[in-house]
Amino acid sequence: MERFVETLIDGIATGSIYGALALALVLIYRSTGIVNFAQGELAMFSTFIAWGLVEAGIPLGLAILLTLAVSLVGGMVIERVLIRPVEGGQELTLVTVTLGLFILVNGLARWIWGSTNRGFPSLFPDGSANLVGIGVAWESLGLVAVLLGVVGVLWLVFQHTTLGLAMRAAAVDPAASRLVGIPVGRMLMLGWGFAAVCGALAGVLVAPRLFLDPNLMGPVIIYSFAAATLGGFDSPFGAVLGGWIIGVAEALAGGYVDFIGQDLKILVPLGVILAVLLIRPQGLFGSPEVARA
Amino acid sequence: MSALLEVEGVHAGYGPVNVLEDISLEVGEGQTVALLGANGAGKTTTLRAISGMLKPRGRIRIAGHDVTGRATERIVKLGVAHVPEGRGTFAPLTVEENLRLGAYARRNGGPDLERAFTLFPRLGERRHQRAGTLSGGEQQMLAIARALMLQPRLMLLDEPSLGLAPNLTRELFKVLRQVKEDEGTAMLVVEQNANLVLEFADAAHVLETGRIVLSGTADEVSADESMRKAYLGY
Ligand SMILES: Nc1ncnc2c1ncn2[C@@H]1O[C@H](COP(=O)(O)OP(=O)(O)OP(=O)(O)O)[C@@H](O)[C@H]1O
Ligand SMILES: [Mg+2]
Repeated sequence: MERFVETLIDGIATGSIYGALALALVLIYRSTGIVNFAQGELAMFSTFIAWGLVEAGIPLGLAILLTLAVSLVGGMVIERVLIRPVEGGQELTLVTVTLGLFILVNGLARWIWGSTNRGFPSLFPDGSANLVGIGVAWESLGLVAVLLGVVGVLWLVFQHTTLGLAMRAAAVDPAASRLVGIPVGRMLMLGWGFAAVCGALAGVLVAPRLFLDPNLMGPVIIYSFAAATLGGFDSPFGAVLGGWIIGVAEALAGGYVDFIGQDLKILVPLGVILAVLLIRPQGLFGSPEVARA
Repeated sequence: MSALLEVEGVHAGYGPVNVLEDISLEVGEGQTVALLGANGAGKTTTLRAISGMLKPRGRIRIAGHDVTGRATERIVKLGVAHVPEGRGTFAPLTVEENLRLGAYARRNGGPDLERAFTLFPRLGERRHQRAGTLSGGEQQMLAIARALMLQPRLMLLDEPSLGLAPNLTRELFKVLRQVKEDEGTAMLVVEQNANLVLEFADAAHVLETGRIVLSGTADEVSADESMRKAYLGY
């Protein structure tokens, strides 16, 4: 029983990382209709920036905050420079551009930092807290808290500020948004900026558990795609819940199903993606595609 | 003193297709001008050129600013509210959110929702409902109410009565008349219901295949023989 609960908590903690990156995917998909295949690579790049700052002697917390700021700006610049020219273009063009971005960012990271493994410090203390008799790692609590914090902030911005309302409007109907005076381009830039921040958080949270190298986000992005697909690509809450479900499914499969074990558990997200696409393509919370007259 | 809106020798179209040929018209401060014409004459295109949704050639001035080729969101800042053909309300957002967005470009004061709900009580009853679930007529009212949230100096109305039952159409024009009288909002109105709009307009222009073929005061245009035959049906 105790082992089961621990596995569950472990899954939710890991799932929070998937949720953060899935949130990034959802933010971009909602505002521009683009599935950003390069999201994981951008997160990896951000994590390297944080690593560089720490190496330069800046305290970890501050380094991460600076990284988030750089990521915000970086995401906005990428939208403006690379995405804007193909905005509203054919699906294949957009996919090609984000795949190109993937290769570009990955190559750039290799060129700057090489492909050696590096350690990345954790934000959270070692050890665990005792919650009703069960030891829960501080890291697990921290991961969940960070994700909930991000979701809370995003919810406040989107539901309770004029800026958030304008960003939602720009995502729904760019032409009508211009007619009420919303600078749609700037809203899309911000969407990419927010997404880059969520991705950067996922990166600095996952890096201490793995080694930091240019392939850091390879596995994570697959789980995050599964999370976003499961939750519904246009639903932020879906992304979070999807992240948790995938995280738990992964932990249970890895821990309990013998023939899967640690090596084959990558089948879990792939299986989930396939099942969702077959049974409920819009995901748990996504809106089905509707054509309205 | 020059007019609030001055359109001079404007040509505009879609890609290689030219639609408007040398359009010139004016709307004075507080004035109502009707734009009439058959389907496909270029009425919608004219409004789109004015609000910057199309890039026109020629010259368009609003309140003394040359806005030819200026981005739509910057033209809106001058107090121009365009209610497009087909409404352009945000379906997944609530009535209240739609109205708040209408005030996005307003310079002074927050959104005055109560005024909108006084003018259109039905919208008040449905303020937390998603716009997409309103009836067609209610959505049309929402589109007009949202435009009024800007407290515009100039409204561009593209067939405001489209899809409205006759009693709602009368109600709508009553509201527009009230806005015009209380706030001196200038309006350029495209309308199929020529009788109705000519009753309330100061001046009118008739478009035919992208050209203005007749201009004058509302009375002159209503009295014009060819106009009566073609558009008023008597
Ligand atoms: N997006 C577009 N692309 C290409 N041509 C267009 C487009 N929109 C309109 N047109 C053409 O421009 C011409 C004028 O259209 P416009 O919509 O301005 O007419 P209208 O006077 O508003 O007609 P209606 O009374 O039917 O609304 C038409 O010949 C139409 O086919
Ligand atoms: Mg039209």
